[in-house]
Amino acid sequence: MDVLTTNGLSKVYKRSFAVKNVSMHVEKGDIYGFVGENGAGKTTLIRLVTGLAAPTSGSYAVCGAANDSPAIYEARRHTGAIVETATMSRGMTALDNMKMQCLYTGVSRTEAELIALIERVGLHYEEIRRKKVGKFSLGMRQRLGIAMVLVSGADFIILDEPMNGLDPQGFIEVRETILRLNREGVTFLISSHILSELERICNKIGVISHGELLEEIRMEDLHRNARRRIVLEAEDADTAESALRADGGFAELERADGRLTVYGDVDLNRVLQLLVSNGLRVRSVNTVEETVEDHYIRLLGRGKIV
Amino acid sequence: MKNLLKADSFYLRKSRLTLIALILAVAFPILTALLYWGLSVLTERENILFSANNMISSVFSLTSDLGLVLPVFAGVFVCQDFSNGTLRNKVIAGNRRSAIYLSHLLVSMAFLLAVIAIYAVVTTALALLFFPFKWDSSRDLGLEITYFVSYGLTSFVFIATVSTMFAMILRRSAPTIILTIVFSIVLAMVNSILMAVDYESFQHVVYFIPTFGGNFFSLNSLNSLSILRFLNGSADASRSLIFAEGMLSYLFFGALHTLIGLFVFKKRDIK
Repeated sequence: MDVLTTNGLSKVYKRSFAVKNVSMHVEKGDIYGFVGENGAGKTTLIRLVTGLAAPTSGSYAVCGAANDSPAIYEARRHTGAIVETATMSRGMTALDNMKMQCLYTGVSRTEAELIALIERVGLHYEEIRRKKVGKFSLGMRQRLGIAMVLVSGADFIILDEPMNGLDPQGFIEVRETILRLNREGVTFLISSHILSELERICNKIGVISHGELLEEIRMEDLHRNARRRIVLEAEDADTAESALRADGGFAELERADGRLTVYGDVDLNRVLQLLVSNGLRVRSVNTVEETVEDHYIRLLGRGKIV
Repeated sequence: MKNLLKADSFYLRKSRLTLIALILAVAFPILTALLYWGLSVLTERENILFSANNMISSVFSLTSDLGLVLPVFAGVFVCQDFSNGTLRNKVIAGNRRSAIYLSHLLVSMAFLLAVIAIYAVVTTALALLFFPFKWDSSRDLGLEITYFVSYGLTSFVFIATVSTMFAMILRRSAPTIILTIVFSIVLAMVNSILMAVDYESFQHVVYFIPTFGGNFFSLNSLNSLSILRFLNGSADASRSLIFAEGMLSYLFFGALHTLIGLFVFKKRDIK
């Protein structure tokens, strides 16, 4: 079952497309990573599906409720989101903000439950009980924002750059929280530019660029289809390159910083035999599997994989 | 909607603005009483200017001390929902925009009414304690108090629709403050100009201008009587009509502001 579906969703600002004809599917139980460069349209798409902005064309459905149906309001009650930054009343304490969030979402929580939620995201309640949120660090606010999202017991949580401002410990805590909640049945849509973090937690990614969704792929498929490459360093790089090119069996070959990279499903033994038979000494050799980051860069057609 | 009302009330209770407004609601009457007392001592004679009537007559004015400040506070309170970003949280949590708007409006109204009521009570108490209250015995005091209080309180309900509309459209405190103050001042200016011209031929149009009725319902029987005599020979007979038209004006323009504000707020994207 799709928790979020968009059909040809578009948003135009001042005659240019911020989001163009995006059709994506977040299924129940997914941790969906939404990847794209700054200004690619990630936040705009999140703003559309959270109801903060109205689509110019296209439609979407949250938990089966179409965006133009009255049911969407009820569906949103089961959805939590942090868009860009966690938003809260800075003149209030963390607990007061949690109480406000309870009222917004129409859920009833005891003070003890709210404090437990605050502690759950790594904030120490006793240390912050009298502190106004305005005096929190960015990372603390981000954690409190996640606690506020959890207040409603949402089944579907949208996090826009949740790792922003977090220290390494915060990274780990947020990641662990996401994974734990996902095991408990919560579906996530997470946009982030920290691809290595997404790779560790997501089971599906969507790549967006210039407002268009370029690809939507499950991590298992990405790994199955991942391109491998052999990176090697030979004593005489010129001769090594000539030998490999002369063989003709290595279609994609690159040379950078004195290292040779051979792409594709290539037999390592064959490469080494070829080089040795040409009297070349190999200093180092590595077989590297394509990461999400590599895949992303390749997809965008930018730069060269190093 | 009920939860939003609770949330907005909770926010208002915790807000410094409320504390400041409550302090002003008590401080302004004390300062005014001190000023009246000082001036009456200085002039060393009994003057209609330093009567309890005069002090009480301005409690519901939208252009004097608290009357000017409170709508600004109400507007700022709404704008803080935008600047904090908590308005986003409300939308994301599945609240309808119309409910968000109306909740702000109702809480603003309640805030204005509560604070102005405190201000009115403190002012009246101090005025009656320290200054003489003069009344034209031919006039029904009970009826005049009813007109005065009803019209005065409704003025603040009306101005809440204005400040909420500006806040929900402009989303930022500074322009909201400026426009709310300008709105009150322009209304007062229009009223003053109309009071000075011969308006009998189109008096019912004039009565329909918001806050104009405040010129008649001031509990300042001597002053208002003279004004009424000047403006309208059958003053007493027409007061209920002026009151009804004034209330109708508030209802009409209040609804109009709310509809405009709602329309714009529902159409716009939230940042």
